[in-house]
Amino acid sequence: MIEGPRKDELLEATAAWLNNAASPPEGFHRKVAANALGIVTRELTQWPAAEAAAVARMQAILGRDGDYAALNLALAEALRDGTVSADDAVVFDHLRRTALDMLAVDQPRYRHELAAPKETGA
Amino acid sequence: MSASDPSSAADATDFVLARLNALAPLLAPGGERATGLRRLTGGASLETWAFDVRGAGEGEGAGRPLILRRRGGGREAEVFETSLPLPIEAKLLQAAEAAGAPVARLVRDCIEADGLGEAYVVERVAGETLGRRIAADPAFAPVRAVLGRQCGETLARIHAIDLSALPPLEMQDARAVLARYADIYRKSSGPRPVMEAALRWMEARLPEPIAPRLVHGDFRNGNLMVDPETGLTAVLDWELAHLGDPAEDLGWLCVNSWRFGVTHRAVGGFADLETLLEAYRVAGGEPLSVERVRFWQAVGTFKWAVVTMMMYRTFATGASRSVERAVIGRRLSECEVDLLALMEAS
Repeated sequence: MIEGPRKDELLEATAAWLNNAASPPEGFHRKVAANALGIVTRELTQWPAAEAAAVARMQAILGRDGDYAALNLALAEALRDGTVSADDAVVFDHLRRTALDMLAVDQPRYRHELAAPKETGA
Repeated sequence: MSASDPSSAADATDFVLARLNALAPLLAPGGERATGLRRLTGGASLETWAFDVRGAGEGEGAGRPLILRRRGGGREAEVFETSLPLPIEAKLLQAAEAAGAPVARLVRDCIEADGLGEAYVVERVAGETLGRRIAADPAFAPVRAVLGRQCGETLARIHAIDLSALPPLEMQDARAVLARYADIYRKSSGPRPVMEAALRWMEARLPEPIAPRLVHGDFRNGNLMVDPETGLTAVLDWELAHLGDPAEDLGWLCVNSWRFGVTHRAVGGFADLETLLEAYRVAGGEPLSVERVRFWQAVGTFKWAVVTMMMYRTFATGASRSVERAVIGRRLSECEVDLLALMEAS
């Protein structure tokens, strides 16, 4: 789950920085600010579909209804107490897809060794 | 910190400069003054300053290049509460040098009369510390394989240091490290499925007990001073040193976040794990299994995840309002992807 910094925190901090920045703004901090705005943009455009897909997967795994936050919390607790296991391919597939969708919002160019999910028939 | 520590940055420079000028004769033969003083790191309470000590009549370029590390008056919350006191760090630098590990040579372990508070002075070593350059810049291509071997040899020497000659250090075995970071995670964040799954995975793979060694604690690409022709010239940042499993240092060096995009080279983005392990063994290090290193790589990745949470907390609580601090919270997703990659590979 995307917990923090939230979209509004990123926008507020970036706007506050722009208000105080020298003109033209210094290179490193300008890139950081542009990165923050990029994260917000991708979250607005990509995350709603990713979240809906995650909700459907978690409903299937946990056999119950709920919104993303409630299901995600329940899944975390089930993984902690062992009633659900990441050794279960369906569970691991969900963790993989969710983590990759989140990374696509936060850092789409980050290079890693986690395999892409297998295509589903749907 | 000293009660007379100044509050503004300009006052801080004057404060440090005056004391280094007074100390100059003890820092270099014939030294009379400190010049070119500049702060290299900002923000955290641990300050790093670069300066040169010169004689009275010398021109430019004749000074002795030095580094001052001191605990300043900064109030910013430190990410790790476990940072060693600087006098202990100074003793570790001496022990590491005596053991043949490349470190910045200690020039002065400051005493109270020096007026700098908790502080020490070391030689300023030339080289590159930017991880991305070391892993990806063509200028460093010839030295990368050498660097992998040098890291193995250096770690073997650090891990061979006689513990009875060291100041008292905290013992942190695998169980203790896991418990510590699990605890900070639970205090910093709501429950997260990948973090919970990773904890389960690590708890099921706790390695067999091993003879404790001096562990550097932050041995990674970014804390290594590297020359493009000769390779490793100094291991920096000893403030997280402790006693523990020697594989902790090798695993931390392999965390994907320190590979700077060169993911296929497991060791800091510059060498293969086989190269590191072989050099470590040849230099007298205890043979360590790949599984043991992978376990500690997972612990390191989990630890980095927790650090991103703590950095975001300093933003969320208002301690720091910088965009940089906020955005680092979004690096949590890279850690979760890396944790899943390790779990999948096992």
